Amino acid sequence: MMQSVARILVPSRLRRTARDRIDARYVTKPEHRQDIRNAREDARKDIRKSREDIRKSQEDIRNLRQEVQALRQEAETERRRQDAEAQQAQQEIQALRRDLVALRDEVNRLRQMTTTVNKANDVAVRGQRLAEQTAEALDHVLQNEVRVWQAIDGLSAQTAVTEISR
Amino acid sequence: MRIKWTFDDGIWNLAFLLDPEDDVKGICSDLAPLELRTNTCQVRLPGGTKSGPDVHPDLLAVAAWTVAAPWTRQKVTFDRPISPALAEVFRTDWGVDAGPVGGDPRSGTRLAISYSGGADSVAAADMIPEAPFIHFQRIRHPRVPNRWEFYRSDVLATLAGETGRDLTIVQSDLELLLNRPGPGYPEHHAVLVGALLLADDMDLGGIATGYEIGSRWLGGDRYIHRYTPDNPMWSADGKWGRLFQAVGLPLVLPVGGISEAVTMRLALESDLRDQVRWCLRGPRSGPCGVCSKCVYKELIQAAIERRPLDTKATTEMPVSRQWQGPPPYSGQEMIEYGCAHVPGIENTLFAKAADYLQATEESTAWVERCYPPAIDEIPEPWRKQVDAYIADKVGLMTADQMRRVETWGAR
Ligand SMILES: [Zn+2]
Repeated sequence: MMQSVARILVPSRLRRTARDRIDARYVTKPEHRQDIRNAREDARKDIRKSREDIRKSQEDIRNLRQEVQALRQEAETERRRQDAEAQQAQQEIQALRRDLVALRDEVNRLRQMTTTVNKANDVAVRGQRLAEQTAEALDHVLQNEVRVWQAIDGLSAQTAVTEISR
Repeated sequence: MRIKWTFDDGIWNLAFLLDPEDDVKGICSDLAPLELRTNTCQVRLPGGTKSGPDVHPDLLAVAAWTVAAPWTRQKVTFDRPISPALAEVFRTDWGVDAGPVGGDPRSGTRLAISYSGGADSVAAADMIPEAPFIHFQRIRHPRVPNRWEFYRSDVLATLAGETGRDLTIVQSDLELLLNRPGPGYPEHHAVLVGALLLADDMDLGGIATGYEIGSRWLGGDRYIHRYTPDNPMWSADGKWGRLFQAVGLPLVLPVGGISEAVTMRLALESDLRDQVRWCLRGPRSGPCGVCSKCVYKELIQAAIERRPLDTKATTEMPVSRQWQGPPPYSGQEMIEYGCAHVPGIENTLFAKAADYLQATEESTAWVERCYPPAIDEIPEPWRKQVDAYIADKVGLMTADQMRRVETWGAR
């Protein structure tokens, strides 16, 4: 801001130099020359200063450009990184999905196996119960056999006695 | 009851036929109610048995009677004549008409031990080291599905074989004749069937068994839990004692005057300690540790060793239920002894029993001594030997201690 004010001031100073030249008839020639030299010198200084200011401004612009460029690169890198991360996440989700499907299959398989084992157990339990019941039933059959023979022997003894007494 | 024995290649087959008044429901001599399953069984004698069918008929008669007695009401008809003396015992001691009658009585000289492998029979074996063993091994019955595979009669037979003693193993399925309360001897004496059938072959004049003071004098086991000088199974003058005497095989109870605490101590101090096995379920490598017998015997062992109870059984297990209520308990004198001598009994499954019994070391001291009348009861040929052994290793009860025995169950 200050630099641009300086640039605007330059023409007014030149205007004053010209006015001073018109007033030169009121000063001595050497003085006048000296005045001109001084004025020239001042103008040169102003020009150098302006050039310097321009150069600095250009440098600032360059720096800013570089900064913008760096930021752009940084943004680009960040975007790429995020893209990569998103891609990886996507891959992980895919992998998890596959695992989930496999697990579901495994659970189904186990469920079927449990059913099979339970069925086998049921069969074994039923078999054992049947064996126990058969054995108990056989106990009764055996005991009845003893009783039947007891009755048959009793009857034949009676018949024999009846026949003898006839 | 009609008895029929047949002999075939070392196997005796028994069949018995019920008379009209007989019944499949019966009562054991110890008063336990029984029920018959079937009426045939076999007894397998080892190879090389000589007598076979020539065995004295009195022996066959008594052997048959050990399985047929509970079902017989009035009369037993054997398939060969029995001696008049035996018939007389049937008549006077049993109230049973037995016949036909004929022939001479039998006699023999040697003593054999009916060896089960438990602490009691090991103690008996230690008292009479020269006596041969006869071991009864249960086998399955061809007509009865085996629902009792946990019963390891094979293990017990193996252990008997490892004793290094003169051993005869007799196999039989007669325990399966019993439907209720389950497989077992119809009469306790059925375990002696092998000794009876081999008596002529081995010239036996007596059979020693491991029945201890509880079984003989205190009405233990399935019996009545009171002092029983007149014990029908084991007293010399009881109906079974006289029957065995009549066939020249008096019953000898070397450990009849001592408790299971003493028989266990003697067994564990004997040469046969590695073969002692009271558990009927465990494999060759060791007892099961959690059956009723194992827990009961562990109490006794802990008591004689004066150490805390070492068992996996807990108060919650079904095996412990029998000791959670008030007495009487089976083998109660041993429960009392155990509760009085096992440190920390109040933290075991016997806590309740200990509380009920209130036994002390002093009140159970008699359990460590021998009841003298038991020695008097031993037949003369073996009495001295047992007497000397008892004097050396056990000692006799005082008069006060004898009174403990004689008032047992009267409190
Ligand atoms: Zn056991």
